Amino acid sequence: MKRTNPVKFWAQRLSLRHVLTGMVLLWVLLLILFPLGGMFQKVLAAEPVSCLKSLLAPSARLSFKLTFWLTLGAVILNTFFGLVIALILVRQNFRGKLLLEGLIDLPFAVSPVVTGFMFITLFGNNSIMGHFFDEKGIRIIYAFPGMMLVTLFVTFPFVIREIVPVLKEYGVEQEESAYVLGASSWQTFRKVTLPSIKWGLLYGITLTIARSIGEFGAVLVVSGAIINKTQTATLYVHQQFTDFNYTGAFAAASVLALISFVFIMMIQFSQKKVKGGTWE
Amino acid sequence: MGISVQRISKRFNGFVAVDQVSFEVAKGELVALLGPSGCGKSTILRIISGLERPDSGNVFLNNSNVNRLTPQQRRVGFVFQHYALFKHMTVEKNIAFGLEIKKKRKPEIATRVAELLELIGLTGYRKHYPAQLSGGQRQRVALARALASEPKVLLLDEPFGALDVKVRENLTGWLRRLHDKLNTTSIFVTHDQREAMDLADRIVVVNQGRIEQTGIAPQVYEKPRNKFVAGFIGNANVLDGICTDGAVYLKRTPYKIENRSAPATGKNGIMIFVRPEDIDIQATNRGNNAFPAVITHINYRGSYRELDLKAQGLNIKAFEYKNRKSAFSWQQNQTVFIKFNNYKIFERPVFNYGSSQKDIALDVECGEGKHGQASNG
Repeated sequence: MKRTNPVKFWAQRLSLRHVLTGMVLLWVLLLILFPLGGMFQKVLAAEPVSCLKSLLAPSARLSFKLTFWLTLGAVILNTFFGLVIALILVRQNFRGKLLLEGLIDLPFAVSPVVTGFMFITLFGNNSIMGHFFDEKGIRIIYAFPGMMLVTLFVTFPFVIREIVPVLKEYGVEQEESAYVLGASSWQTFRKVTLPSIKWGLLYGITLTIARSIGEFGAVLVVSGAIINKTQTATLYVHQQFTDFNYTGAFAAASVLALISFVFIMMIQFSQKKVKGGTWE
Repeated sequence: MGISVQRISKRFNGFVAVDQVSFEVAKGELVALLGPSGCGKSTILRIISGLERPDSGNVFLNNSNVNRLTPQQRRVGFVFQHYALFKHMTVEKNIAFGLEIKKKRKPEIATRVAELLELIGLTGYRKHYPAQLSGGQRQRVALARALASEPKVLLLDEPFGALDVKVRENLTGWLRRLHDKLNTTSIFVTHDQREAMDLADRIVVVNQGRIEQTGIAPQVYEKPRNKFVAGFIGNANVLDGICTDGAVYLKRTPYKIENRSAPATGKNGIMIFVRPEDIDIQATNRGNNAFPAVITHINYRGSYRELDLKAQGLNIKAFEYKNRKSAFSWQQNQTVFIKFNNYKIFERPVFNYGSSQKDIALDVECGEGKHGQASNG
């Protein structure tokens, strides 16, 4: 019997492809799944009753409510403006188009904390704008409007960035044939354009949701994180953590992570199904 | 008149795409806009459909001026080169789209869609999505969609451009029969002269945004009005010539083509256009303005052969067709005698090769009947 050298044995069977795939999986495991698992483990280890209790505490409930409204606002406004801006960027040629495209990416490049400070300088008590609104009795900084504004700012690019390439690839021929067939611009948009960019749009919205839920820095700066008033869910997690209330922190954090995770996976899998099944 | 286009022009960023184009298409006629890519033929079609606005000029559909009408209001059928089917809709939904927009009643739509599905032979595919169909099937669906609301005018932009040869041949025949049956007025754009000849009642040859010639296929092929048409439609050898002592010679050779007094040709000389099938090949010199040439290469083409000939440094292409009595006879490196049975003379252009303004066929001035029969002495 010939004895095989185990090193040689495996070297022959393991191609570079296998090694690379393994490395990628390991990397994802270390970077994404471990931290996620660690957090959930902490929650599961805790008493379910105390977890639930901490989640149902008034300040926790209020913080989630606040996050919900901010997210809803960001989704509605950024979907609308995102669609309009993406259509204009792809279909129209005008002066300053390059500048506009650059500006769209700006929220990605600016640190959220800096974003927060930008809004403070713009709407703070000592600014002209802040003064103007103050006289009318509208508070922007350390209140909901300011938090809404920074959330809009940091989530602004997602919808646009997801739709623009889809729109570009999709071209105008289908729309033109709709026109020739008698469809108005609005009918064409509703029946032809929108269904074609649906997945890009949904993905953009999902990212907007995930980011709105997760935003911390910018909201922290403009909200002042006033408990029971301007504290969003992420701020609540942070506060619970610094107060050594680990159960409350991990429970709330898990809920946040779970929501984002569910949204992303929903999109991911529904998209897969459509591609395999009917169109594209 | 089905379609009338009057002096339309269109510029894109200073580039003249369409330049004072006028032509008419009679009711029930099928006309081809034939030209090289980028010649403006698609733009003309898009202007007729309303998808593009002309800078000047008028478009009449069934005798009414449609200049101010949007594409929605013009109610023409338009078929795009890449089908432009709605990807997220089934075949059935695609065809029904125009009818649904026009708020037709449901049973009426269903009947019409079933009718069209049968017409295009895709009844079994009504629940399929465009991605599940072949190119030819997709194009037929696009046609059915365009025909659904019974347009009086059908415009087709390179309808078979993206299909492979066999499918294309099938579809052209089918489209011709369909057109005759429906009695629409149709224009289709193509860069393929064969397609134009196969399908069209009349051909409009377009180049650089202008119309070079309009006519039935034999006219544009046998009586090209200018150099562009002669070169673009069919194959042609383009040879330099000179005109002296009452005869036409090939330039820089002693070879005489024909005795005749060609018109004054200016200082630029003349160009001789001769089609490969119009070159007569003989084994021996029987006079008649034949001259010697060597067969340098033979390309087999099935029903005919392409012979590459060399005569005093000139490269000439000739076709040899299968004889009823014998198969192909010529061999490589054989010296033969060739004679131009039919040819055209154009004045040599001064600067711009493609310009169509000054290169009207000189033969026209000579009298059409004369050339083609080489006169003896």
